[in-house]
Formats: sequence, C-alpha cells, structure tokens
Amino acid sequence: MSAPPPKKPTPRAPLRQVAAAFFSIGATSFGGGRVVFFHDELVRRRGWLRDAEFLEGLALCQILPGGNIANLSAYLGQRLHGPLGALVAPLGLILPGALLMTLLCVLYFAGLRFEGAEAAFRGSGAAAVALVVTTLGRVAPRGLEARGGWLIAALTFAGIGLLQLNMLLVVPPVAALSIWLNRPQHRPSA
Amino acid sequence: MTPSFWLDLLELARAYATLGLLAVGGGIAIVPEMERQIVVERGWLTRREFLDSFALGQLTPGPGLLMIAFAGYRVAGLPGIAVALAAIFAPTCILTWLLATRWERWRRSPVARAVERGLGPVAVGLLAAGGLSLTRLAVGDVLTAAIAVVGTLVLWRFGLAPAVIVFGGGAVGWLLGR
Repeated sequence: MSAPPPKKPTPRAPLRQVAAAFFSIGATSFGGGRVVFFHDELVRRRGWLRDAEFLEGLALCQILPGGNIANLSAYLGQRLHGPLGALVAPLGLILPGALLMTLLCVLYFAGLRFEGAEAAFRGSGAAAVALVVTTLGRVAPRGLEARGGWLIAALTFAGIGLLQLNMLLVVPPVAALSIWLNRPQHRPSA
Repeated sequence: MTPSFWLDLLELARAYATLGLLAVGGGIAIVPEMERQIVVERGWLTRREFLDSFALGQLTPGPGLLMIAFAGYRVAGLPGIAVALAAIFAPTCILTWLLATRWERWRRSPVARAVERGLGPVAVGLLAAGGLSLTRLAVGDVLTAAIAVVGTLVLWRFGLAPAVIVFGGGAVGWLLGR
C-alpha cells in the first residue's frame, strides 16, 4: 500500500460495553423487525451512533449476503471498537439465542413439543409490526432529509414492499440514484 | 469419533457456508432453499421438524437463522450445532467486516458523505417494506390487528424496550389466540 496508514481512530465505546450491548440485543430481540433492537440500544439508549450512521449500515447490510442482523453487528462492531468490536459484537449477538436454541434442540429431539407456541408466535409477530412502525417514525425524519429523499424511499418501498421484487434488482440502482442526487456540490469559488 | 462423523461435520460446514453466502436479502429469503437442501435433498430433517425449527427460530432471540442448529444437531449432535452456526454466520460476517474497514478509510471524503446521506432514504424505504411484509405475515385477524395497533400506541407513548412489546404480544396471543 502506498497510501500512508490512517491514524488509529479512538474507539467510540469500551469493548466490554460493546459486548454487553450486543449480548443484550441478542438476548432480547425476539420476533420480526429485529433491526429495531439495534436502533433502540445503540442509538436511543447509549447514543453511540447517529440515526444517519445507523441507516447507512442498515442499507449496506441488507444488500450483503447472509443473516442481516449478524452482518449489521459485525459492521457496527467495527464502527464502535475496530476489529475487536467486529469480533465481539456478532458473538454477543448470537450467543444467547444459540444457547437457548441448543437447549430447545435437545428437548425437542427428546420428544418434547411446545404447545401453544404457534399462538404466542402469532402474537409476537403482530407486536413486531408495532416495533417497525415506531422505529420508522423515529428514523424517517433524518433519513428523508437527503435530496430526493421521499422519492427514493417511495421507490424502494414500491419495488420491495409492494411489487416484492428481488432486493438486488431494486436497491443498487435506487441507491446509486440517491447517492448521485446527493453528490458533493462544486463551490463556485473553490 | 468415526471418520464418517468428521465427514458429516465437513458436509454440514460446506452446506451451510454456501447457504449463508446465497442468502441475499436476509435469512428468511433462503428458507425455501434451506428446505430443499435440508429436507428434500439430504433428508436431515422431516418437513414437520423443519417447520418446527423455523417457528422456534422465530421465537428464539437473536438471528432467525439460528434455526439451522436443528439440522446440525440431527447430523452430529452438539458439535454439529457449533459447526452449523459457525459456517452460516462467519463467512458473511467476515465479508461485512472487510467492507466496514475499507469504508472507514473513505469516511472523510465528500463522496462518503454523499453515500451516507443517499443511503438514508433507501433504508427508510427498506424498513417500510419490511414492515409491510411483516404485516402481511403476522396480521390476519382482529386479535393480531389489535396487538399491532395497541402495541404501536403504547410504544410511541411510553418508549418501552422492544422486548417488552414482543413478549407482551406473545403472551396476549398465547392467552387469547389458542
């Protein structure tokens, strides 16, 4: 690499607190709309990230392959505490559920069935709708500030939500258009 | 530990690493492909077991893809769970991490500012689309619609932790919806 190494950024959050935050997200993020739990913990409660940074990470991680929220934790972990953060955040996120799932596996294959699980699942699924609506209300003002924000959000929503097109057909072109609309402006007297 | 046990683990790792890298647009998008590979092609789980693992994955906190622990356990017991989870999460997390580190070097440039601003409304649209598909899946009768509406009002008014709402909805569903 010929470029000079960038000076080491100071971590925004202590590693132990990053681990604790992601463990807590991992232990409480039930049901659908799991990205909401990231916003609640990292932006609202701990104030480590701005809405705009969260939204950027969210959009990037949706177009990468793999579990979205595992990717989001690696991405945000890097933001908060560098490579160690990127290691600790996904581990913290996955650990609580993995332990519970292991227990459920053993019980399930030992013959235990979970009566009423489906009814509880329907209830928590409906509650997750409330989470997404509320978070949308919280982040939309910031996200729509961009030039052409309403148009871009509407195009994305129409393509993926209404027409149910493949994410890869919709997000890259719409994102490119949006970035172009928000390109740096040349100052007249530079 | 017979040789076939290690071969099973290897096969598990290969199958799940591939699935993880194929899962563009989120874990749920590959459920049909997972079913094809796990149930139809390899017979690791019956269809019923697969559906149960999906439901339990949704009820378990953390990523929904944790459901693959079931097939891992079936194939190779507890080590199978560890291998299955590592294989499905690690490759894509590393990919994301590489992107994040490259991205940081760019941050100060005006182009990076444009990207951050430009991706904001895309994420808002994605979140709204996610809300719509969740509504299609989860709201089907008066009870679930009531949970969604009351949940939104309560959450907006009192700013509770998200888990409280999900647990509350689950409890109401379990009590009234059986």
